[in-house]
Amino acid sequence: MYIGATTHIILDDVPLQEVLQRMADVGFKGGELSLIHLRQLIDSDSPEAAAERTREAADELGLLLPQSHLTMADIACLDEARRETELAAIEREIELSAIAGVKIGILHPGGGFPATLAEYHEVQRVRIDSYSRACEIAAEHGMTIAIENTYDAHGDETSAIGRRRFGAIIPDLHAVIDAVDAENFGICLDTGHTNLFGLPLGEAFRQCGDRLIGTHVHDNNGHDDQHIEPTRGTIDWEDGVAGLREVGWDGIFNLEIAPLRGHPIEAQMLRMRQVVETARWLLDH
Amino acid sequence: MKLAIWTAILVELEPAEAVAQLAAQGWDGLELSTEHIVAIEEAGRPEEIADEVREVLEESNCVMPQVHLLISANVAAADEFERRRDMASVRRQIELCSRMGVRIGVIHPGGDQPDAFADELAERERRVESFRKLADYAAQFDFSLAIENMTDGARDRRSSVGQRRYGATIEELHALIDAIDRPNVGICLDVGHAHVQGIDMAEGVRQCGDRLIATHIQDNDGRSDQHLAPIRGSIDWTAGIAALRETGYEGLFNLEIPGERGLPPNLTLKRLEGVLETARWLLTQSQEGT
Repeated sequence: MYIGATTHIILDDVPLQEVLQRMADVGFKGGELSLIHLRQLIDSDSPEAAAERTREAADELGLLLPQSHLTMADIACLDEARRETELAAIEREIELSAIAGVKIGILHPGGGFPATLAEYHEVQRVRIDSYSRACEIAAEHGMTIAIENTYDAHGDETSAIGRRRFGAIIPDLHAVIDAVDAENFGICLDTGHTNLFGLPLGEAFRQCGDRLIGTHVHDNNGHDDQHIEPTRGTIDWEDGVAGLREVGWDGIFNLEIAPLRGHPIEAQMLRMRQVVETARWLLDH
Repeated sequence: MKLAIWTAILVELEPAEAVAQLAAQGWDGLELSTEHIVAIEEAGRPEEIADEVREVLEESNCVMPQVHLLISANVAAADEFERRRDMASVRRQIELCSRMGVRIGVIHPGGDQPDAFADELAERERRVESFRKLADYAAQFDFSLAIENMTDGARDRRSSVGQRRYGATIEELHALIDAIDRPNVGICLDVGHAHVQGIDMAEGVRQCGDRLIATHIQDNDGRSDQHLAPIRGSIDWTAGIAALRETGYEGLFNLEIPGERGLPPNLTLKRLEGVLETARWLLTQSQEGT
């Protein structure tokens, strides 16, 4: 297991290659190519070349980029035209992720809050179809798709299943993977989302089992999706890390945090060093 | 559809007295509350008290087709002693209810939100098995079980299924009833629980379909399970009652409103006059609208 971070840990107009350099400087061994940076690659004058340069930069730094965050759009929405647009976007994101050396693309389950049970079941059918297609596209580029856990809502949302949201429980994710039945499909466990939902982290990792292929590691107060550093919230990390070890996870312990955006880069570097040290302590403890 | 109230609105009174007072006030129907069936069960001569309740009903124009069986019953409990004890109590309550002419028993799905998912799955199997046994027993008395929808747990709850509690969606109740596979098992829709859960009353009713055999009618602000009288919260009653009529529901429109308690019985009865009138207005208005 090695410590990484999503590349949006530093923004503030710092170019991606410099972000990678700084991540390596503070001791990260890997990272997730953030959606923001992936979109920057897509929007650049020469996307393929930019993605290639990203790969070369990471290689030179000895930094692994095993995963990227693909679109956060709703791939289970019932608007076919919108869905097709998103699937086209996913295809492009996968193409460039692959050139950048990424192996796993992370997607949310989507689906929103269907008003009727009939709609709920239709959304599930569409979700399975979209994930099947995403897996097919990913396979063409030697990549794997990871479905990320969500959490139930606590606002004024109403739906056929109330404020429950598909994908908050790990069995929902397994159900999609079983239905898609593709070899290149697994789970990205988001630790903060499990805490909001009341799912103990060790149990969550155990429920993922050998389908765990990606991580989003962050903490919160159990009420808001704060994306703060581990040990600053209420997650039981000892239990969580024990769960990770039980399932034999040897991939990235990927921090999805943005602790110091807007602060001077020197302060961000200092904080990132502390974050890496804390994460190391957690994993070695 | 009969306008009804659960008897624990007068929880301070003996069962027969509470039934008599509410019948006299003009309610068309009653649900015998869990407090009152427990009081009967635990009395020195339960059958005599049950017969007394039945006689009071026979002398009135009020019917009492449903009961809330032991509210704390956990038929899915991992603890075998607890499960057997609760099942025995429910069986005894069914016998006594049958004597009073009650034909439907509302019961909670139970469960403990286990820490490990393997235990959650085992709990689901126990739940099905227990309900099968209870349904088979109830069938001897021409009695049906109505499994009630619940709400998910508090934000600080931790379990293998997070804050979720089995039975908080109607879909889960259908899955449970399919698995139980007995003709005398249906749904009691608690519209307040559905509202807290973010399920519109009308949608909840439609999802129950012809498995709806009992109701718990109560209102709230959509945030907490307040058990207020209708129109004191934010439920869309017009749409909800219209859906009840659409599905052809003919059971009790049964108010379960402990949020209106807290006064001495004579003042509670005064307050209930307004509640009764309002609820009757709601039902009449929806009938006129259709």
